[in-house]
Amino acid sequence: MIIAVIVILAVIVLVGLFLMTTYNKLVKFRERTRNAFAQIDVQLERRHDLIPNLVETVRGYMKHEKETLEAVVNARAAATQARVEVSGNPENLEAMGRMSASEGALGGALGRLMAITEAYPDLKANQNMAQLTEELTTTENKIAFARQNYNDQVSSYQTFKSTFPPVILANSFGFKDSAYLSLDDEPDKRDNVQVSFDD
Amino acid sequence: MDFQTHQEQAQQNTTKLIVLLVFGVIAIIAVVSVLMVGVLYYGTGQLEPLGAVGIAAPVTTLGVVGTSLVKSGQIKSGGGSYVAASMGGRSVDFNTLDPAERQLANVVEEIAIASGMPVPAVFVLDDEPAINAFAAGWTADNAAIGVTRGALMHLNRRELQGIIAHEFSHIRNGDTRVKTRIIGWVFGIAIITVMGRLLLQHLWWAPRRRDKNDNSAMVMMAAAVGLIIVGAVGTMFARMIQAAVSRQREYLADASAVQYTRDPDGIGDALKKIGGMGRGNKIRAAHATEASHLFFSPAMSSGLATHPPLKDRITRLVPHWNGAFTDPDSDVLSKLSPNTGGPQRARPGGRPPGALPGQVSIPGMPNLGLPIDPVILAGSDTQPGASGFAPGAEQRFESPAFGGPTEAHIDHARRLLAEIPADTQNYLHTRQGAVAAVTSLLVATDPQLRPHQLEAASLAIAMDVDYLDAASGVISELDRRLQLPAIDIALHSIRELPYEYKVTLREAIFSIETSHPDQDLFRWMLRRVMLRHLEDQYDDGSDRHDAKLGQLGDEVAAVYAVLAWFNSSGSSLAQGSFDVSLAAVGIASLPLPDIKQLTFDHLDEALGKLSHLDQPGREQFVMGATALVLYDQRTTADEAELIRVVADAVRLPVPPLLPIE
Repeated sequence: MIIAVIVILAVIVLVGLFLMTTYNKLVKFRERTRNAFAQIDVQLERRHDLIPNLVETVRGYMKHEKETLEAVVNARAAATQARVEVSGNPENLEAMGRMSASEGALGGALGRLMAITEAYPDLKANQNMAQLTEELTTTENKIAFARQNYNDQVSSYQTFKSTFPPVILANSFGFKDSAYLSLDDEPDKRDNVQVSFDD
Repeated sequence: MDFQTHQEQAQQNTTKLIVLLVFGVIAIIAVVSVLMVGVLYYGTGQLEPLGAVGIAAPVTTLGVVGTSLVKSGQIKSGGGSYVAASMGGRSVDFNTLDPAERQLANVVEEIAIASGMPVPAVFVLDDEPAINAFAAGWTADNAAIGVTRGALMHLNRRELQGIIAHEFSHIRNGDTRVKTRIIGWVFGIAIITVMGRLLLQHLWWAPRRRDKNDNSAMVMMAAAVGLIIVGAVGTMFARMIQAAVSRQREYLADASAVQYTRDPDGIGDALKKIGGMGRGNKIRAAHATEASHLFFSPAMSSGLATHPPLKDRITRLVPHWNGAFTDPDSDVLSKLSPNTGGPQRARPGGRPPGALPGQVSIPGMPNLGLPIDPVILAGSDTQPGASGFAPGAEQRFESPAFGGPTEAHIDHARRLLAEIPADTQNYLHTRQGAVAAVTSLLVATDPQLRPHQLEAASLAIAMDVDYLDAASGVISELDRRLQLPAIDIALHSIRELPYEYKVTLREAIFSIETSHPDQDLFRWMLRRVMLRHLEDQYDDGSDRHDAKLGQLGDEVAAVYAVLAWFNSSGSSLAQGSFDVSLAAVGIASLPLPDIKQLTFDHLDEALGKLSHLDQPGREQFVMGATALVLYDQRTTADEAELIRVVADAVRLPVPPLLPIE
């Protein structure tokens, strides 16, 4: 009888301990993804901050590229809006989806703008432009690397969360899914390469 | 194979090698202990063999282990920044305005994010034209990364990212720790040789016993020689293992660079450029031998290579490599000038790898015996401000301050500097801007010569023609009082250029200097001053200053005559001002030579000789020139500045002349 009580108590304690460590692990994983996301967020903000400068510098040189410039300005506005909506919470899947799309569109618009600047040698010679290009490049790289890191973290969080015992805890304590971030331009918005075989 | 397999393989190989080293050390200790037993047993003749073992083994172990710990402790102390600074590294400010260093700082931050490590201190080795980089430091938190100036010059962004990622891997994998420990062991083993040598010396000098039956001396001798051999052989094997471990860590770092950047071509291309540098890629820093294991590519060539062959490394990264190295200069040009249409544009004809860009001769006027033609003077009158002096407000000035600047001068200078627009200052602070401004100022203004010279200069220094053309206005359109200060700013930026590029620049600039005539004496003098300052940057500063004014009467008269002609635009004032200046230096009055007899070459030569005058001589010469320029009683700020330029031309820089209010 006493043995049975001890055994039951021991099992309860063990299960409690197990639940506790699992819960803590879940929290730790979630914090890591949030941290990793904060790193991207910082770089995204930096990208948004650079754009007005870029547009200002480029505008003086580009007479006929009004549409491209407007596309960048609009994409930035949308991306800034989406970033505010997410407000640092990667578990807000819907907002993350919008952010992913709008940042992707911004990246695409920026890419097109930078491609056009290649055609303006005066602009390329501009010191200010050279600096801006370097800052944009590094920010894009940092976003890419931070995103790699973030997606790695999300991957380990999601994997842990969906394995058997933790999945019960995760569901009952409301550990939400974190969204993978793609930030790629939507394929249908990219310009298709036009190939023509007649001269 | 993907990078993960490469990483695992390198880790496994390292482990094997370390195990091998540990067994080696144990074996060495065993052999040495046996030898020590012999020494103790025969040397003293009192110990039992077993007791001898009891003493010899711990003593040997302690000797080897102790030495290795002391040595690694020495290396360990100080942290990464200390090591980087001791190799001549200059710490990079992360807010730097220099485009190349800014890019470096950015790349380091990027890889820090990619590898999930803290941002290390970053150093530049300014005097190293080779392409190389190193990581130092015991932990990720006190680590430092150093990059040579050559790497900043030659590598494009992706390649730089590749080698920075490689260095991050060394920090992350604790390679400095592993390597430092192994160096400790090598020293520990080497100490055995030292012991043997000491023993041998001891036996040599010890009083010989006359006892015929005593074999002990022989045995001791044999033991000493045995110690030396074991130590030497052991050290050699340890060094081989050290080198092998180092090579494995390089493979590991290359693979990790790919992991961080997901771009095998970045680091691959960097290695190809290093291959293209060939033998020129050696580090010159004093501590480089000790630190050779730290570097990205071999800093030294030696039999015990700490780095795998370049070809192996490249093939692992880029399996379909065609075996050709790349020209290390292929990105230099676009780096200096973002607006050049591409490298091929500025590199006519193929150059062997490692050769400097642009040794192109600049077409110019033949520079022999070119007269200072009065026609030029006459023609200048039609161009206001092109000759003599622009009509400016008359002002009175204090005489030049040879004693150095006073507080009033410094104040005045500060105001002058503030008058140079901030944009211009920023432009001249960049190396590219400084090079463009200075080079374009040297190009002739003559509409016939100018296009040719611009074209040639743009090829030689790899800059766009239009860019260069536009840059000439940066300094020449400033107020004259500001031109010399602006040149000083530009020259300072040029001083910071890497040595290799400075050599190219020098060749380019000195081929432009066909001392083509100018309608404007001030501009001509300014060019000359600039050239002299540039030339001095390559000099060791061992210039003589011992000529006496009395010996150089002809030269003095020649310079004054030109000044007199220009200053008075050929009017009757010329003779008077000439006389005044000659009187100031104590030369008897001479008739003013005909301007047709004077050539710019003459002037050039005369100024060259005058720059070797002793201090009082130069001061007197400048006083004479001052008297000349001020003779007509109508002094303008421009005239005051001409005095400064003349003074500078004879290496007597004077502070700006103070206007008398």
